[in-house]
Formats: sequence, structure tokens, C-alpha cells
Amino acid sequence: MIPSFAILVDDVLLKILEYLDCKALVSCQATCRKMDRIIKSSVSLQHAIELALCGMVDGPRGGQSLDITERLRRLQLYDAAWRHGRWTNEKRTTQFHGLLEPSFGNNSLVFKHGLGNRHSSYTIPSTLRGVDEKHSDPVVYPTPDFSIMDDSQDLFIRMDRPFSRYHLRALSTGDPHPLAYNHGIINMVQNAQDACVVQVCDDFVLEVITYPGNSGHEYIVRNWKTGIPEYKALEPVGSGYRIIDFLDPEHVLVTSNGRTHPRYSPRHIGLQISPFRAESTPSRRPLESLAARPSYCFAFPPFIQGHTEMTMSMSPWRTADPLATGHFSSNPEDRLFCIGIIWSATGGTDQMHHRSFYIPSSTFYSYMRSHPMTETTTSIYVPWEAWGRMGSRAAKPWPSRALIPAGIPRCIRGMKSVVMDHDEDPNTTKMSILDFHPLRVARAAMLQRRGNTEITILRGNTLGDMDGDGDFEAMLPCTVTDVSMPDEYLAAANNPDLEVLSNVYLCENGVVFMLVDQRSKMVLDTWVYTI
Amino acid sequence: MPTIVSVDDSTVPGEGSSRLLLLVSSDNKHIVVEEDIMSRSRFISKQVEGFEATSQRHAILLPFSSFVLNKVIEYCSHYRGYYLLEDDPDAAPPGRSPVREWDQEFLDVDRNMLLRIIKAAHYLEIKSLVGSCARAIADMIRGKTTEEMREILGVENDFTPEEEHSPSSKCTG
Repeated sequence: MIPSFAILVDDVLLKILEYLDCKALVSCQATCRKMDRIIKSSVSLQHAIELALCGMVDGPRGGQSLDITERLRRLQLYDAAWRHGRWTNEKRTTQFHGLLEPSFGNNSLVFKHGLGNRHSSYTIPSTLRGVDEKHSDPVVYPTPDFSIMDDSQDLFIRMDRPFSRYHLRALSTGDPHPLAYNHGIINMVQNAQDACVVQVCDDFVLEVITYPGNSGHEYIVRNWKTGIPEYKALEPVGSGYRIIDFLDPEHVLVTSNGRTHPRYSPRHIGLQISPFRAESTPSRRPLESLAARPSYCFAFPPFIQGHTEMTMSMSPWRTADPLATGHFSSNPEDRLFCIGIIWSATGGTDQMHHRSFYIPSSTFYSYMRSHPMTETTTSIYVPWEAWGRMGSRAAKPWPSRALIPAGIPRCIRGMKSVVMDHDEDPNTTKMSILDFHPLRVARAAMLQRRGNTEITILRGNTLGDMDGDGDFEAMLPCTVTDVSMPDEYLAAANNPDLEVLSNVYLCENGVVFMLVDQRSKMVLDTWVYTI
Repeated sequence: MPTIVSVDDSTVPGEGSSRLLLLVSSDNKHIVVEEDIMSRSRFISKQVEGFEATSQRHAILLPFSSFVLNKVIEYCSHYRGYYLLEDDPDAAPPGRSPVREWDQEFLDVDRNMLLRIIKAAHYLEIKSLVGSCARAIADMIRGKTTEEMREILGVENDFTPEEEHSPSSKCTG
């Protein structure tokens, strides 16, 4: 008689089940009644299954990783899926009438319900990820002031004003987030004039607090799972800085206009990367001015120099694993930064140029290591020439397992991927640059052809760090998808009685098209082209 | 069943500050082990606290064989003096045990042994060992079909045919 694992007590079986992924859990549930009961009654396992079904966690759990062949196969599957996408059932998505400015995550979006204190979260369905229409019913929760979301961690943060506290909730249910500290409620200072949470990065949130009397802003980086403030910085008023993003829990990205700030010469892009914490210092540090900290600045590319108007954004890439959509890589070097620059040669809008540049974070961090900050450093300029070298590691030949189609790796060596000019195609009536994809080096642009009957989705490359050594070796060529718009969309967009504009957003699983009434700023209808 | 053996402190010479414990396995083997090796076990620690409260030291009877017990002692000796977060009763419980290479090698045993070790570790309240065993067992069944899992886990299919074909247990992923 073989001894059975069923003799173990529930607690121990639960321990074992915690190491399983969604698929194994579901198989295991079918083995016997006892397993079925344990899995069904465990809140944490059900939470994990829910997330997996919503496509928020499809990466390997328990430290397991896919082998290279399997990853490449899935990548190709993903890429092929984009060419054979479908329009979701519009009847369903029209439930999302709400105010403009929805919040977007990788796979979900959140709308505010009219003027009511309610929000609903909607998961973009995807056959590839096993999320069908029935999972995409919106979850509605009473939330007066929706602040930010991070759907890869199933997290949204709602603000209470003027009480200076915020709530950490699970996006999938609206309940307090299971991993959050103290039932998900964090109190900030009481005597603030204004306080808000501006960013989430992994376990950390960035709070910005303004005190009365115009004494500047205080930035606090707090671990939201433990509630402990890790770092504080004081920013005097009028310094010309604006925090735009976390790069990782230890670095913030600060942007400023390159020509007004004394630190930047006109030859340098006004991007500053400030290390929050130095390695040798304790994590809690006294208040210190961010402006006084040494930083890394980027040089302008030569073809932009001298142009008058320029805007720019930089997007941190949270993971290099194209399949682990729900997982942040714990290693900041597995991420990828993307800098997008829009500039105009004439100052008008007709000659806008759009270009994006990619810097693998591993090479950026290795640049930082080879040019360390010292006591006397005020700033280090990353020269434009260095960008071209970034991404190709001299010590190691470009991937030993050659998975890269010829001609593609150029963009990942740090240079441009897609260049689009307004006047490039005479048939183009409208072009929208979609946001940078937060998890892949994929960038989509939509070109609306004359007559509005068809759009083109340009996607950048999909790639990944296949063997976990911090470089990128799997890439698929840039793809172009021509999609015919649904008739209802065309009818509404071409209706002369309506003053509408269409907004387009790129998500992990598809592209969301919204028709927005310009007068009321209400979303009239939503269509999702999904894969 | 062995009778409770009274152990006088003088009969078990202590070495330094670490005193000795007498453990008795279910197959009636007497095993002497240093107290601080076994302090990783919450169960043993509680027993020792009991000894100190009553000034009576006696053998600790354990409901598993000496073969398993020796394996557990080997584990505890390896991590003697190490701090493992999972075993800290004051620390917040971590979700999963980290991967420890030594543990993986140590637990490279057949499924029956693994089952015995996890049972013993649970009885002795050694959370780190329970976690490592759980990971090892999960590794065995991951990626297997339901039928293969039944075989590995040694469980019988006790669903009725209707329940088995219910759509609720389908996975789309």
C-alpha cells in the first residue's frame, strides 16, 4: 500500500499548493474531493487563480522559468495573435459609459461612472490568455477619488481627501489588497496642504506632500506592503524639477526643460536620474534636497539640436520577460527604459517628428557602475554616442543562441525603432502615437486611412531576456496590422451631428478605441480590438 | 511503546552551554542530540521551556521512525546557528520559502520519504523544512496531468462521474 499524501493535514497540503501555478492547481483540484475542498476554501489560492484567469499573472510561479524554445514559441504565438485579432462584443463594452480619462493598466482599464462616486474596472479579454467575455464583466466599486493603478500587481490606490490617507485595494475585487499593510489604509501627514500618491514601483509607492506656507514638496518612498517609509526627500519650490517616474525603487526620474535649468546645457536632454539611495548608506536618510543630488543626464541626439520645440517622456520597463506579464522582475537590470521624443522643426504641428529610443536598463546600469558618483560629483552626462553602444555587450558575443531575425537588433542596441512623420503618407488622415507598451518593446501607432475605414497598427518588436543574463536575445520583426473598423464605430465617428473624437490606447492584449463626446467629455462607446 | 525515561542532568554531560536532549523515535531508538541543534523546532523548544519551568528533564517521545528523525536532525545540524526567516516566530511569515540549493539536494529522496519528512517537520513545527518539502513536492507534480498527480500523491478519485465532468473544474490557461 502506497502511503497517500491525503493523510497530511490541510495546513501542510495548502503549503504545497501555494507553490503551484494556476494550471497545476486546477489539475490538482480534479484529483480528489479533499484537494478540491482545500483549493476552493483557500482565499489566497482562489485569488491567485482569479488573477491568472484575468491574464494578470501568466508568468511562472514558484521560481520556475520556461525554457528558451517554449518562450520563443509563445512569443511567436503572441505575435501571430496580433495579426488575427478580433473585435470584442461591442454591446458589452458599451457598458463603460463614463468620464474621459480612464486609467490604464497592462490588461485593464478603469472608468469613472458619470459623476457618481463609483469606478468600474474592466479586463481586456484575450483568447490567447484564456480571458473570455464572461471574465470581462466590469467590477464596480465605490471609490470617490481614484488615484492610480498597477494591474500587474492587482493594485489600485484610492485617495481620501483632505484626510491625507490612501487605501490600497485589489483591482480584481475592490477589497483591501491581500498583501497590503494594515488592511490597506495608510495615513500620511495630517497638516498637509495637499498630499497624494504619484507612483507605484514594485513594493514601493511615491508620496508627494505639500505643506502649507509654500515650503516645498516632500517626497516619501514607502513600502506599501509593510507601511514603512524608506526614504524622504525635500524639494524646494521653484527648483524647476518635476518627478515623473520611478525607474526602480532606488532611482527616480526627474524631468525638466533642458534650456531653463542651469544644470543642463542646451546640448543635453533635461532628464535626470537621481539615485534615491546609495548602496552603502542606510535606507532611512534625513531630509535632503533632491536638487542637490548628483544625477545622470542624457545628451541630445545631434539631429534634434537646435530645434525649438521638444517634448519627451521616458518610460521605465518593468520586466524583460515578455511572458511574465504579471510579474515585475525583481532585478532592476532586467528592465528596459524607453525614451520618446517628439519635436518640431518649424514650431508648428504639421512637421512633428516622433522618434523613440530604447536603452536596455542593464546597459544603463552598467554605465552607471562604470561612471560612479563621487562625493564631488554634481552630474554625469551620458553622451549621445554612448547610446549606440548600449545594448551590445563587448565581453559577450551577441546571443549565442541566435534567435534574432537579421536586421532587427538595431533598435535594441539603443537606437530608433520606428520613425513616423505626418507627411510621410499622403493617405494618412490622422495618426495617433499610442503609449509605450509598459512590458514589451512594442510600440504601436495607429494610422487612420482616408475615409476612416481602416486603421494600421504598427507594433514594435517583442523581445525578452531568454536566459536571464540581462541582455535581450529574442525578437520578432516589427509588425503591421491593417484592421477594418467595425461599422458602428464608423457610423458614430462620421456622424455629423456628433462632435466626437476617438481616443486610442494600447494595452497588453489589444487596442481600445473610444469615442468621446467633446462637449461633455463622456465616453460614448468603446471598442476593443483584442488578440 | 517505550516508557518515559527520566534523564537526570548529571547523567547527560552537557558540553558548554548546549545541553543534550534525549529523543525517542517510534521504533524505540534513543537518540541523543544537542539542545541548540533542535532549537529550530518550535515543538522541542516548547518542551525545553517546560523542562525549565518544572526542573524535570525527560526524554521526548516522537511519533516517527529513527530513520526520519535522523534526517530531520541532519537538516537541523546543517542550519545550526543560521537565521532562517521562516523559523522566526516574531517575523511576519513570508509567502514562500526561498530556494536553497542544499535543501534541494537534501530532499532529493523518494516520495514516501518526502511525505514522512514533511509530516515530521510539521509535527516538530520546523517551518523552513515544511516549506522546502512543500516546494519539492510541488516540483514533483507541476506540469503533470490529473491522473499522474493522483498516482504521485497516492489519492483515489472519489468524485462521482457527474462531478468529474462538471465544467467548473476547467482551466482555460
